[in-house]
Amino acid sequence: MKIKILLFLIVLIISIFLRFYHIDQLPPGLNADEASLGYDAYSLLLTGKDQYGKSFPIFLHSFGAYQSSLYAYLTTAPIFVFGLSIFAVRFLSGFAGILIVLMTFIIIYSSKENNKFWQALLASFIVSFVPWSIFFSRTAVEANLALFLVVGATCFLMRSLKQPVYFIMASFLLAISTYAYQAQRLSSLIFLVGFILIFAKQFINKKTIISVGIALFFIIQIPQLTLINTEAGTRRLDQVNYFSKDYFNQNSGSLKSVPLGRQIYIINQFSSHYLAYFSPKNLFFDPDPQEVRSIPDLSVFYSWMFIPFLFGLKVFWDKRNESFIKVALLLMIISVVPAALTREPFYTLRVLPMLWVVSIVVSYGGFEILYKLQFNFLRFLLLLTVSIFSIGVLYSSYFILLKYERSSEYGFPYIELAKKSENLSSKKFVVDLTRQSQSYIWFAFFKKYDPLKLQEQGKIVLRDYYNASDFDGKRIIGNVKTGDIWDKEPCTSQIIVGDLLAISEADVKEHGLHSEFEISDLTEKVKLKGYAMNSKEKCI
Amino acid sequence: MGRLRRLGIFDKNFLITIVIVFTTPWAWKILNYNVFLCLILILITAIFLKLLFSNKFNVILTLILCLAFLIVTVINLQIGFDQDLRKLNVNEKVQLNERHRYYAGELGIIFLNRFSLNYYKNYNPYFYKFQRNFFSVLDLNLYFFASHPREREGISEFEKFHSLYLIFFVVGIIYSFRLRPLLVMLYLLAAGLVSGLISPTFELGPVLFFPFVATLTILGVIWLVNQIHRI
Repeated sequence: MKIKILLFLIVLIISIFLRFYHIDQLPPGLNADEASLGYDAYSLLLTGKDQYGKSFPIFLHSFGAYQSSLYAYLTTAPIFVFGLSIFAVRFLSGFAGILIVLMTFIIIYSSKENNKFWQALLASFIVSFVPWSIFFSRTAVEANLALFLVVGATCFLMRSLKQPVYFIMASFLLAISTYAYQAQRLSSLIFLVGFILIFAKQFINKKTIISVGIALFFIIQIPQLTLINTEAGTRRLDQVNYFSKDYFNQNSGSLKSVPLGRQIYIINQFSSHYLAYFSPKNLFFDPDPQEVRSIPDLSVFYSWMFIPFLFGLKVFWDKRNESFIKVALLLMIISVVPAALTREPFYTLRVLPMLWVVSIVVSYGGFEILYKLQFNFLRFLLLLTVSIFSIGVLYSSYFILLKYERSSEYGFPYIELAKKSENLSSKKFVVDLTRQSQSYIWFAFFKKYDPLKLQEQGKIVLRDYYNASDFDGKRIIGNVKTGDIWDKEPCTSQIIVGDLLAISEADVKEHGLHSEFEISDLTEKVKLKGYAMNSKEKCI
Repeated sequence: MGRLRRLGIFDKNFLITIVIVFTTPWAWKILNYNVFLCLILILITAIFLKLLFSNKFNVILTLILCLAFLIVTVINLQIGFDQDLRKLNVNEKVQLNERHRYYAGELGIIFLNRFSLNYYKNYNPYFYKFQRNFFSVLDLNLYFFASHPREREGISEFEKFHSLYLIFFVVGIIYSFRLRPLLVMLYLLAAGLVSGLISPTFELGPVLFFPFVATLTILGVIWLVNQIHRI
């Protein structure tokens, strides 16, 4: 028994280490969405309002995309304890990642399996060190918090099969998850309904508990339902779906001239996008096409996991009548639906519950392979080999390549600029926002800018907060102004800053600019250039 | 007529096989390119289907399958071998050198030793490309949606099976679990490993997967027809 506890503790320690080791340095910096979540949390903590001055918002306006707000509310606690820092912003995601590992163990350990301890240990070990879980636990993403709530709900749903009262708790967590991440608004509802339908016989005499659970779910939805006709309620889907007539006309090719062409097009799009999430190529080899959401040369799973995945599918098929397998399959199938309704080819963030189930499939397959090996020595050798190989791949891709090749995606040059503007506090900076309209958020975050002053600049949004999706990014954060660098401010000395396309050699000559500094990313490629613009000379 | 019946020409499964195979755009593309190759692939499809349904291990059919697989492999490697597996283009060389700098700075002697450098320069890039080819052919979107929504850069993708057949294919996969899952897995791995050596730009695509996808699609249709018959 002692050895089992020790092994479980080792898995937990591994998961803590992989999630919190240098979490403030890797990924290097903060991406704009993380910075926005963190600053909104800071603003909520100090003023009870977001960065635009909206009191206790249901969705965060952010950059006009209307992020779910739960992550920001919960992040007020780490910011209160640790101050406004990268660590504080990512803390919740990392903590949720550890709890997911813990709950994976609990769910499988309490299912009906034989050898359930070893099965549960392997599953939690796999979840603790698969690339997607490490990556999203080390960045501030609402989806990882939502996954924690969904896995928690799954845990209670499994328990409810023995003690139905737990169904109410599961409904509560699923309802809360809809405030954690936009995609959950659809999939949590389908998951709950699907669960009731699959296990209807077991709940036939527990109608009161089921009714209370469903009622609780819908009561918690009321604040969101009141916004259903606003841009905040539907804009995210409008921005990313392929249902519109314009999109059909631009992308459907020959289907335009076919009767029912649009309907066929939508079905085709949905099928192809849905299937893409189960493609071994996307799961085991190609990283997510969005560089800010992926690790260089590493997909969401290690490539060797394809073999245990195949075995795991067979095990899932053989055990398809077990309750947990049914719930897991349901979760896997439905959690891809919201993602498949969108245009992006493979958007990992939207399918974390599905990736969690695939991790369990891999662990079941891995367990089957280990079980078939007759000698403990061979089992240990196999586990050791794949672990060392995986750690090597992870270290090379995440701890080295990501650090260098993705530093720009995590705002590294702008963070350096924020530090520089602090050091040169007597000077005035104007930063170009043509290709990075969200840059003000890094200055606000790293200068710990007074939220009341920022709210004052964005208050135009308050006229119709949930319908004001336009966003311009022009702000003044202390001595830094984000906007048009060629705005005429006669007789004012200032440093204009832009990327390599913003200020050309011809501009330098024409305006008599003097180079002040260059800021590189970690690959040592210049990303931002600062020039002194001494308009006083022209005034004389 | 009787002789034809004895040969199984009017057998329901045989008819389904013919319909599925000859209504796929891929079969016609291969047929136009090389009749012999197409016939062997259809032969593999038929044998694969037969083996899936047979209760006992059929030595002769298995041997014929292996032989046909070998012939297709040889033809495939002759006309579609991925020359990229033996060389690096300019961009790949630049990336290799840049990453060399990062690894050297971070890992020191762990990277800067003869063994690691040899692996990094002479094996890792080619192993990576092999894996890229291997996983590309395992992408179902390649067969039913011309790789949409994640089309590959510089490759002219084409729809190999009608997307409607996807439903039958999925049913076929599930049905195959009840029949001979090990055979399905072995074929998948063997075809994947060979196709890892074939260029992604090869105009016929990963032809060894034609029998695999066709067989499972046929299997799905057979299962559905049987269900309808029962009703």
